[in-house]
Amino acid sequence: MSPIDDELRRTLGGRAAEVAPMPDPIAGIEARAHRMHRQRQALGAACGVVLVGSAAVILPLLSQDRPPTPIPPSTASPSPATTAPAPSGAAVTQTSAAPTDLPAASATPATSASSGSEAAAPSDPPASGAAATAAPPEAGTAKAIYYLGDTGTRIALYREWRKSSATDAVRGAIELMLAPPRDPDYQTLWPVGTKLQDVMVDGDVATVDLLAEALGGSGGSAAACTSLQQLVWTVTAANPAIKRVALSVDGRTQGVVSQWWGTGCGPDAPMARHTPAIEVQALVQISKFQEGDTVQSRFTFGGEATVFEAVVSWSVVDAAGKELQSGTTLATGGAPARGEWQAIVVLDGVQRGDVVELRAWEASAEDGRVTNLDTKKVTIG
Amino acid sequence: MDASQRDAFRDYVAARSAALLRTAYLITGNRADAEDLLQTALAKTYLAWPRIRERDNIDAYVRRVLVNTHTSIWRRHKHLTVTPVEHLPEHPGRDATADSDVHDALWAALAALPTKMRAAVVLRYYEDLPEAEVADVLGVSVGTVKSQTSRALVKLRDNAGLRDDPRGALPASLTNGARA
Repeated sequence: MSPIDDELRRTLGGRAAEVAPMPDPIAGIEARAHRMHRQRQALGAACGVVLVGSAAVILPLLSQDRPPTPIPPSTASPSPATTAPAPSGAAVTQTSAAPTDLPAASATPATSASSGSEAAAPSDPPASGAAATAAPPEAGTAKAIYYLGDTGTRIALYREWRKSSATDAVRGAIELMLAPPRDPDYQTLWPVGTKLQDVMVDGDVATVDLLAEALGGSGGSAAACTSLQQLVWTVTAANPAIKRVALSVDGRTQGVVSQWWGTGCGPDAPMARHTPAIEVQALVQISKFQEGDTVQSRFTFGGEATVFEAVVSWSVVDAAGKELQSGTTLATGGAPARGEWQAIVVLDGVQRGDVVELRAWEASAEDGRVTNLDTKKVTIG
Repeated sequence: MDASQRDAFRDYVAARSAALLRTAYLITGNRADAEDLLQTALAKTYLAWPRIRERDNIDAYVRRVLVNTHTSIWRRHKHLTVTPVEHLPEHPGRDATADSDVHDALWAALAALPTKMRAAVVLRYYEDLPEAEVADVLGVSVGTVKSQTSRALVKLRDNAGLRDDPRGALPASLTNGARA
């Protein structure tokens, strides 16, 4: 043992010994717990629901952000046995994130190992047997398309599962990304008139060539640079073999990224997904369902989250804003890992054609307030 | 939570809060943050109490919450703060033993470590947890714990001005509290 070990132990021990206990800690702890709980626990009736929601926590590891090649519906079969709903070890240890101190090293594209999850889950009919139907009007194969959304404190990437009939997956994905998202809470800031000219793939680098209209964006550096990440995430999702995206305008790369939208977002070199991913990703995302989908009165919805202690809060409200059901559920992993979460919803008293809003958020660890809210309006069918 | 569970929780707090506060203090570096962190962590534990399965090792659960809460609070604020300059060497009226300068320097150097690395050091060298348990608390692999703690020791040694001789001279920048 080196001398520094001993000195360190003595330093820590000495400092610790000076810490006097808190007088009567329990009152403060319980008061704080109740404050936190207010947000998590909703109406009295929700008690049972919370239990259902928690018990329903699922699922297989998945959770990584590698939209895979299209998988025919029904291949996503959760194996609930792999995850215990207990918050203990499970939340921290059962993640599929790479074990490093960088929260999102796992965002570095891994090859096929982690794929299968993303594209499969949300685009499939609910594998848990819940009676819900998602019937996107689009044809083709579902791809993750990223858009910008406001988390309440920053701009982040949210994603929709969209289908494109384009023969080239990457082209189709970029074209969807340039068009408005289905969810009105999201947006794309690429200038109207931005057109894709060409996509060339060489090894793991895709060069995306756009018309000059692309250069006319604005909105500040966060908007500008997150928009570039939007492109990178969308392209690398559409074709997992692509790891980096070079951006050119009218065939020229020089001065494009480095002067992007008047602010610049790094060197004029191929861009990879930003790490740690949590700095660009939305921390709570509903993936099942999409805005405008149709559900039945009993369904399972879910998504991904990077939240403290893996606790995701959710609710369903009617068109008048009245809460129909709410609860908390545990994701398969807690921050800094990204986990998947699900909640079972059983709605009474709704009728065909009613529109309800699904909400998911993280209750602030400090005061329980709603943070990182994502919402989807769906129709009862 | 029923009455017996609440009593069990209160017993746990009564028995362990002093020790946990010491750990929280070493992780955060100051008393106010330590109390706040521990109170938050125990409140979360309270909410999760009925669901905690590892009844024989609740400390492990609480440590995880403690470290996770600390790193997530830190993450929320990290864009606002540049360096933790508030953690300069403190000189409370302690015995001026031959060791105190070294220990002050080490304490200051600890403040300069990244949050998670510091937590790893505290768990390993104060709590004396095996590497596997440290890994479990931090949610990382054992290999990461090994590399983090060994990198931490190098940083501490360098930052505290300790070389082969742990009582070696301290750099002037440390003793006058002007750590870079």
